[in-house]
Amino acid sequence: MSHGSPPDDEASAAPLLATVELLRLAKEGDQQALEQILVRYVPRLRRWASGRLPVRARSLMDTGDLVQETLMRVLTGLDRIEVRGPGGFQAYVRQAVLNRIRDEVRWTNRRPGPDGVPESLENPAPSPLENAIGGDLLDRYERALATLKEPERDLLHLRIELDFDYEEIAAMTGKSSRDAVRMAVQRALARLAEAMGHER
Amino acid sequence: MSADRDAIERLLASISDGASTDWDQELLQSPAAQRTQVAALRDIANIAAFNRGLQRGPDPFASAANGPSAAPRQWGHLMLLDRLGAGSQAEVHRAWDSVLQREVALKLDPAAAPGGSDEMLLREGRAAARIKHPNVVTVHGIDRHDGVVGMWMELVRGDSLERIVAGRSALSIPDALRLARELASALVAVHEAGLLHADLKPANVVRDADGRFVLTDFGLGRRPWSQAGAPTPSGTPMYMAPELFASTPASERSDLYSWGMVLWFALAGRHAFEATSLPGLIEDAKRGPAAKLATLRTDAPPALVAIIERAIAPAPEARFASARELALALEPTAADPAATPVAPKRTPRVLMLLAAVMTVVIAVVAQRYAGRLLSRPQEAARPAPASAPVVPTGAYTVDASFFKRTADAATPLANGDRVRPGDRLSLQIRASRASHVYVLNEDEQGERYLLFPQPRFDTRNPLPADSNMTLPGGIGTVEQAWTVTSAGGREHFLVVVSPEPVAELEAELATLATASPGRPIEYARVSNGAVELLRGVGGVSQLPAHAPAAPRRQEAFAEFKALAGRENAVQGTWVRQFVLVNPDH
Repeated sequence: MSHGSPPDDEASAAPLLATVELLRLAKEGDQQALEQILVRYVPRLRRWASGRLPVRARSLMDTGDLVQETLMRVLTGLDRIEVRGPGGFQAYVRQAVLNRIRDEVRWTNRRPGPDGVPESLENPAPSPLENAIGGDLLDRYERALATLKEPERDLLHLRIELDFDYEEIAAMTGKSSRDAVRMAVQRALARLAEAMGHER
Repeated sequence: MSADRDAIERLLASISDGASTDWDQELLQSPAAQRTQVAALRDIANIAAFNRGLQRGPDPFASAANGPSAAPRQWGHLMLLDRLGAGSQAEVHRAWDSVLQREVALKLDPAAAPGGSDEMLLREGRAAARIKHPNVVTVHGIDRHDGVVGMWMELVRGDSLERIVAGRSALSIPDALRLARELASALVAVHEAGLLHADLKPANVVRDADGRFVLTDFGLGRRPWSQAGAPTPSGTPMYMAPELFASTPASERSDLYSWGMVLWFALAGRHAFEATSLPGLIEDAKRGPAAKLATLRTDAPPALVAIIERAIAPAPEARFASARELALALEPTAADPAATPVAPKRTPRVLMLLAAVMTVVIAVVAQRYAGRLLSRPQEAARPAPASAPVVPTGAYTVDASFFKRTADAATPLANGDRVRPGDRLSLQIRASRASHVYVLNEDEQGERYLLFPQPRFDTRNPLPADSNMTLPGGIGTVEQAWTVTSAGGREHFLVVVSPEPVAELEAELATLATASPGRPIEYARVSNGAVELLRGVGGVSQLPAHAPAAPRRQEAFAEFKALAGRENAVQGTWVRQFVLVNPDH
């Protein structure tokens, strides 16, 4: 079976400074560092978010805009982010995007229908990911993920959700090698599986 | 226990690396204590595969700009994962089927019959879905969503013949003979379903892990009578019959030409023609290959070379008249034991035992589990009884019902009830004396399989007297069920109860490979003779001496009485049929 290649976005050409370093530079007003963060994350985040946004809500706002806007909000509020590094930033952004998606869905549900009556408050059309794996499993995954430490969540988000390769993750998180990342991802996966198992 | 830890670490690595894993098998093999963990890992792997598909697939934000021909992320109930390949018209994706809960191959053809009749395309898809053959990819369905026609089918894991030859040069003679026969047999099935393949080439032949060659990639709108007006040649020029370049419609004989060219390529390790332009290729095809296959492969059986040369004759009328004629011509090549491939075992068409359905009943340590499985080969390989005395030995009662199973309920099924892919079935049976029970399945093509007993099941014959037994029973500590894996027509079951072993069925059972942990479950194919024998025994009326010729294969089970709950005063061997409707739409 063949495997496709990760998206060939501009991020792959950008120097892979550790995210924590980019954030530090960005906080000091380095516009290039800010752009690098955007270039690195936006293409992958919006692909990831496209699987999380219900189809009905998606028509209201392009997912790419949603992601970019969220990331910009996070970045312009840099002073409020505690850059603990390494780790934590990606999980923070991920949660911010998910919150933004939830707001979008809520807004969609309360939008009056054609006859002026608000549409159902129930969950609109499920997201593509819910369609693929089921809402229950997705809930279990999110709850289990929330029990992990931030660095573990970061690793899983970067590897399992955004499909960064080990070398990229090593550079972004400041880990020593691809093997170190691989082992850390596997440890985080084991903890996630354990947490999901307990949720059954 | 270290082996168990290794297994978990292997699964963690496979998720992390994005490698492919057969999770059904992993779950079946995993010891009870680890099953929850393995199930959670499978769930994470599915989520990871979904995300990988998003990251590696076409940019979803470019699709609006590209218009309706751009591949959608979600197509009907299928979620696109990786793109496996693309041609001039269609793309093939690995996709997640949320109904079947498995990965499938999805061929999306935005250009299929533009403006044409959906009904015709859907009919063709349904015809393809009715082809159930071990050497033809199983088509699960066809539909149109958002203006894009798609056909989803079995995801065959293996290498294409094109890649095999590119990586290793020509096939060995035994492999080539196997390819010749299996591909011819596949074409018989395709043509007898009223379809043409019309793009048979090495890239469309996949060899799976069991060595089975599988014909893949059905096109749409390639039926002979679907070509209106002057047809445009479609296919891969190197394997296209010369008459197709002159706008002659594709035919069975043009498929046979492609078969011959594929065999030529497999044996020679290169294409038959060396032309570098289409006009040059057309001229070459009219003359036939310049090189002699017998010269390139002096070890090839002359009979095989002669068959290939006849198949690729430039004039259609000089070729075999049909795939069946070709298959018959190939039969003598199987006479050479050194060249005879082992017939692949396969699972029944629709019903296969697949899933662990119920919760773990008893905690059994992994060592014991593995030990029990490993202890079975001797039993599985025991010789079949020399005879099958079917002697009425006093009346007994039989009480039998099929059930549809879910995690928390068992719903009784009546003859004629409908089932759907994903449904899980079991048989509850109780006899007032110790009995040998056999469950056979017959699909609409007339293929028959012995579903029970199986060497890997814990439940074995004879079943004890006066005990409610649920079949197929368990493997290790996990109860199993027969799972409906695809749709299509009717499913006939035959339930046989006998105080003594039934020799013919035991003989079929003895053909199964010995059991070992991790080996996929195999089903014994039941011969005509075994079923015919059942007609004349016990609770089934004897055929009269002047009985008409044997019924068509599709009706082999049809003359048995229907299964109907409890029956008293059963004498000798008791046989009943049970029919479930499994429509393909």
